[in-house]
Amino acid sequence: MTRKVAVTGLGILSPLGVGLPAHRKRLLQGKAAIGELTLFDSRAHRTHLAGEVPADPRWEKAWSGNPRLSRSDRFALFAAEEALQMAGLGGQKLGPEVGVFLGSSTGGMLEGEAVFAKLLATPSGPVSVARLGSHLHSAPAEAVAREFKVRGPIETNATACSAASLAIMAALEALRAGECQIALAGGADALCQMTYGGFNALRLVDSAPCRPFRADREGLSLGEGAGLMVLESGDSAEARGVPILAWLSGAAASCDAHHMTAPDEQGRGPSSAIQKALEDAGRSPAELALINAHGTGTPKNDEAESLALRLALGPDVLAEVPIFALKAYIGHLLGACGGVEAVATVLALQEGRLYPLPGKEEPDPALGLRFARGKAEALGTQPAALSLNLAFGGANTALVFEVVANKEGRA
Amino acid sequence: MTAVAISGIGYLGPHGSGHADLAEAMAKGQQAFRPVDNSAGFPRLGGARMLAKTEAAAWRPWLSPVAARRLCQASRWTVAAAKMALQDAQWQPDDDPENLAVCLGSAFGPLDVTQRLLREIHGAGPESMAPFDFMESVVNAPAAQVAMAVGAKGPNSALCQREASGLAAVAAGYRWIQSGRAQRVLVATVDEMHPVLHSVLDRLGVLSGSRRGLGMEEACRPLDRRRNGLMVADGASVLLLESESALVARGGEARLWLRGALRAHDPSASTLNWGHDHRELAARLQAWLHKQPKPPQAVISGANGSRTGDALEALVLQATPAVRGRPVLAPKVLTGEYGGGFLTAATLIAQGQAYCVTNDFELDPALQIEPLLERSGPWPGPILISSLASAGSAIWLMVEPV
Repeated sequence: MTRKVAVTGLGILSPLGVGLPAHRKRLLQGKAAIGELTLFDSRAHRTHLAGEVPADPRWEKAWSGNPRLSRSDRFALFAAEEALQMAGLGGQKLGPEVGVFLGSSTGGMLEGEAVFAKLLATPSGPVSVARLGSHLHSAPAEAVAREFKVRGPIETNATACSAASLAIMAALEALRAGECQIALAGGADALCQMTYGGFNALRLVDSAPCRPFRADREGLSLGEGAGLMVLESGDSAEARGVPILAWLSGAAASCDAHHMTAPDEQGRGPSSAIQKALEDAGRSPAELALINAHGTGTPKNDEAESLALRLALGPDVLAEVPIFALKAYIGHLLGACGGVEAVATVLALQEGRLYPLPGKEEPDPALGLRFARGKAEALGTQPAALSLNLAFGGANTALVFEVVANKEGRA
Repeated sequence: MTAVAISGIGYLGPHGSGHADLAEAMAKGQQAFRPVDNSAGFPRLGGARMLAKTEAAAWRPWLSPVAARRLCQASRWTVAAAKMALQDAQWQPDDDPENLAVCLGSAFGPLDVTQRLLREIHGAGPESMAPFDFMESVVNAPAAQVAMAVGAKGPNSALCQREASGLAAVAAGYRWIQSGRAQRVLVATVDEMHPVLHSVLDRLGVLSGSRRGLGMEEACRPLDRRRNGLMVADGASVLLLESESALVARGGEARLWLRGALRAHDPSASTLNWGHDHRELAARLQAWLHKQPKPPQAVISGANGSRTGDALEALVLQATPAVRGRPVLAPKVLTGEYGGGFLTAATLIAQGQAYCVTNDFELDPALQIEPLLERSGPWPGPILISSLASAGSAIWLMVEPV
């Protein structure tokens, strides 16, 4: 069996908009979507910005009449439905050959916070806790599996900012092992007070929109959304007669084993994940056309990530391969970031263009990285792209996607 | 296929510290349920009152105070259990850190620190949140702390699969070894049963005793005719999985062989309950068991006393020819639900550890299975470990005695 699997469907919603067309447009324009936080009162926090998903009945709907779904659940359901429709699987009961692999760092924490507030106010009073069924981290994956009648394996990964990319890696393994024939994989997370307050407490949040890899970067911005993809073997896609958008050809994970929040300053952990992912994909660093970096915008993380890239790929390759950082557009989506970034990586490969970094600030010359600025630029002819995520606890994940070659060399 | 051994066990729970304490309790049929801490005023009048708590400081022999001060309770328990598992396996990960992975399963994550943060948000305000508490509130914090404590630089992951979280971690660890991502995996499960969570579960009506006001008795009775809900526990359990080649290379010994894992989902389950589509689950299980070289000799069931969950478990076993009529053991009668006790107990039982149920048992004829209430000694063949979770997850492991 071939080790690479086909990407046949994409679904996404983020502060940039709801659905793939909105993302294609906004990414090519280079317009960020980080603004004033309105979802809850931020007056007691140090910062007041976030990337919020715009209201839209397409994701806010009741979904099979369940009123208890959390915001994260609905994000996941929308992205799953969009990906399934693109893959020609819309409106079907998916059954035992399909699995769901979803990352989420907080599940329905936003709704859980409201219930907890009532419980604190009246500890032994008649507080309805039924909605807490959607507070659990596993709830978004369960909601997707229930809605689309999935009977294969389901897995919720809650490894902070690597959750979604680890979920995609798990889907790749399940497909390679024949545990399922089709996988829905990615991540979903909604903003909540817990993470907003927590990152403020850690003083990792910028009071202005985040500026990954810029010289004046001061921290991250938080965001929310979901990104999912349909993965299946090439044979399965061919048999079903659906177009292959890209290949997921490799993945790997590692751990810094160094600190809960600070990266290994030498970048050894992520470097190991990158090298192993390329090895898993059977690709060399010189075959990369694009790197979708984790790029949080915190001074230390961006520096450590740059070191890791240099260590893994070598300075010559790194000087040539352009970097993209989606968080500059939408903020840090935590457990969902690996999903939306994987979707954006596939979009870039499909378009054959590198999206520009929004803003006019100068890139940090000390990092030695190359970006598209001002407008999108054409990608090189190399076949592969790397998507990297680094999480609390030093959990690193690297995914390798590849273009689907045609007569012109690119899809 | 790469043969995978379970070579070390670490346990920290209501029955003590170390798997020998749990083994002793299992041989005597001892439960460990105690009244819940009522000091914060959460428990409802007429609601459930009992749970099995792990002693908060049970980690002390395994962690220095300096190391422990940076860890939340869940991380302390998990790190201590991981060190126990390594000691039990007589192996220290000093020579091949990139080939040692950590995979954690947890239904609720580090709850003690999470509820503290929520109190701060809604009390003094979000600006009062402690940075340390937030770092340790992420679900993967115990997995990361294990990696730091033992120097594990392979994949590091945390999974949430409700009642099946422990088996989900084992299944993921098994897959990592099969795919060559690691030679060894510390698979861990941890949960904390804070009075707030106990109260929430009580209000959801899932606990035995949730309807005591209606005259229902509070008791842990998996597969019993009188079962009326589950009883909960906390603690941590860690198993060391090793590829056969890694085990042989260091001259280690297997406690059990892990032969495979199967995962499925029942979409008929609601967000708060088990499903009812036993035929589809049974068909999946039968197809998988049919491919195994040897049929299972017994089933170690994750039945926990839930009316619907236990009924689903029984119906699945009845509808699966490869296990129909096999002895069924339900150790959650002793360990309670959550906290890893089931994972350790199932491993010990599969090894032949003595097990008995001393509280009175009344057969539920509707389930059409008769649980084995007493057992000791080696098994003649493989054992199936079963865990069906609320909201639809189903995971089965096949283990084989050495």
